[in-house]
Amino acid sequence: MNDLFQYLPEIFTGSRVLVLLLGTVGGLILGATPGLSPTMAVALLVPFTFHMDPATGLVLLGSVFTSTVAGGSLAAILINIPGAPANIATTFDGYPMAKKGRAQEALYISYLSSLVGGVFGIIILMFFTPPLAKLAMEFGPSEMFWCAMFGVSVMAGLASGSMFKGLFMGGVGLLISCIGDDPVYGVTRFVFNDSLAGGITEIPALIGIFAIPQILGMVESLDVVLTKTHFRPEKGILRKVLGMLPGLSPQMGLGSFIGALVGIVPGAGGQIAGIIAYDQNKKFCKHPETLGTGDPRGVAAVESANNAMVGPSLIPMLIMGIPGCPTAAVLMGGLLIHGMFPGPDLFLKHADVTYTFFWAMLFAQITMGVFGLVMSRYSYLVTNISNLMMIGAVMVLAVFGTYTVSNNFDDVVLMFTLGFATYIARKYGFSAAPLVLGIILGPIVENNFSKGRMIAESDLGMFSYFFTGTTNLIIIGLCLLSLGWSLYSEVKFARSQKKNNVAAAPAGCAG
Amino acid sequence: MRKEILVTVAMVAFVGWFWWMARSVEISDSTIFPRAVMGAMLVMCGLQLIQAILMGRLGMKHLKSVAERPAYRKVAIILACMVVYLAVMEYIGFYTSAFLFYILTVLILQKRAITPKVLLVRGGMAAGFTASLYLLFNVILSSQVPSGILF
Repeated sequence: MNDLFQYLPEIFTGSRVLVLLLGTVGGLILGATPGLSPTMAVALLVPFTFHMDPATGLVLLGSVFTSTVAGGSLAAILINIPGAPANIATTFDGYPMAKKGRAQEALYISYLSSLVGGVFGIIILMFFTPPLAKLAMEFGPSEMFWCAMFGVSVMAGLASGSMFKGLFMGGVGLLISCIGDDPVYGVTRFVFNDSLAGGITEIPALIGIFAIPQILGMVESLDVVLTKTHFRPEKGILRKVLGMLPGLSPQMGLGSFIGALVGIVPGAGGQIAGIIAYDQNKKFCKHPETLGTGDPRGVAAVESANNAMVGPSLIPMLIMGIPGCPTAAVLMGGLLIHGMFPGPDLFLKHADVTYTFFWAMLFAQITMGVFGLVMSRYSYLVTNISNLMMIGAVMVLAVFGTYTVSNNFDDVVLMFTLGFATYIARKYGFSAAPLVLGIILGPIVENNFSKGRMIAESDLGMFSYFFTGTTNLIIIGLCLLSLGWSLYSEVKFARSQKKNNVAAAPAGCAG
Repeated sequence: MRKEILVTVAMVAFVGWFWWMARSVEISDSTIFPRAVMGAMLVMCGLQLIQAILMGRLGMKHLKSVAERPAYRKVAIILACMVVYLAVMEYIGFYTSAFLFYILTVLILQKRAITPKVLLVRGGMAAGFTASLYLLFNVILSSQVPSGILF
């Protein structure tokens, strides 16, 4: 606890405050622009942190992560298109509110709920991570192996589309991470082109996987005409919304709790947090029939949940190297390029950087809330940013970000190739998130698998080493639970589609 | 259903390709982990095939399009622009290629007719964008970028 407060002044240096403010405002704008996801924004910014000290670099990435999630609500409310996946459920009540002429009110509720949820999530991050990191010190190779596998299984299971395709993509990521020299035996593996001899560099891969499909997606939907809700800012709305806050506190409390809980689960993310919070709010609130028709309670529950997810999603990443969501995976790339490896060392050797980052995340939430409220009045400017202008800009930034990692043009080619392959794969129902997680977690999984195998062969045997012991069994149980849940969701989806098909059949016959 | 079966064939082919490459690795112990992953991926292929057949029989599908009528022609043109952009970057330099790529994508994707006025406005925007890139990357960050015969 002393360490935490000891590093509080570190955030108040001139450059860090400037980076924090720029990151927050930039993140709000990027988040509000449909087509630019938080993950892509963070991926594009990681190479910029090369030029900063680790703490300042993480302040930038953390503030952008925080504010893009909140900024996404603006597009969700005004044009019914979520600025980020985390804001999908915000459209359920946010857009109907805007259509009823209550856009400004919805935006204020959204940013205030994001602030409440976000601060709650960061407090969880600040106070739970150090003791959990100490606990993680007890983990051996087998436990670490299963933890990483849990990350892959959850992410794959929750990927959009088929669960089997999600798991397959996780496998593709693990295989891609094997390309290059084997760290244990020193032999070269799967190098089918000379430029791959050094293996796949993570940052170019992440930039390609997130940026290229998004650019091409923007091109695809350029002709789609968006129905924008315009509003004239009125005085007194903020006071009215502040007066509504006590009434919305149960939704904010529920959303914050669910968001924090979902955030800790590796691989889940803001989209799941928002949808679960909306669903649970529907079950617990008094008049659920008004939800979906422009009810402020719906906006408050979702926005507090998706921002409460941000802090806790970093907990498994910081203590075990298992990202809680795709953006956390990219942020981990930012840690690695500064020579900082997740685990207890972050709190022992790099305590100055880690605790400064925690404080930055907290202040980013507060500045996000303040700037969000101010920006709400001028939101029409943000929604007018054309994707036409963004396409060339994002591509050029992606190329720069990739090249600057090692000043190697081969990385740029790799970035583009992986990005294009991901774009094609997405067309056939394969999700990019498990691929990224596979690439990030691959070295952790293989390293611990190899270490565990060596220990097992000299002592207990493979089965006893990997499949016995309380911690191993608990994590294996969690893996099975996540896969079982995904399978159940698949069956549920199939049943609902079958029901829809049956319902649609007579109409088709009659026609 | 046929589409999903073809997808499964592609999945198996991908695993097969890696399996084939694994044969040429000098120390076989080094391929234990990748082979375990490939085994699991093959199981996923089998399950995916079963799912595809079952869902096909019930008239259901997982695949859906992002936009209602995606502009694939434009996507193909932009992809071609990207390939050309990357191919010429090392010869003409980062900033010149960025300027040309930016203005080209905007002119191709916009709906307006290309008049001298539009060209001037778009050219000004592209020049402004390139100048800010130069300011950020060269002056502020002092980063190394590919330099060619031009700027």
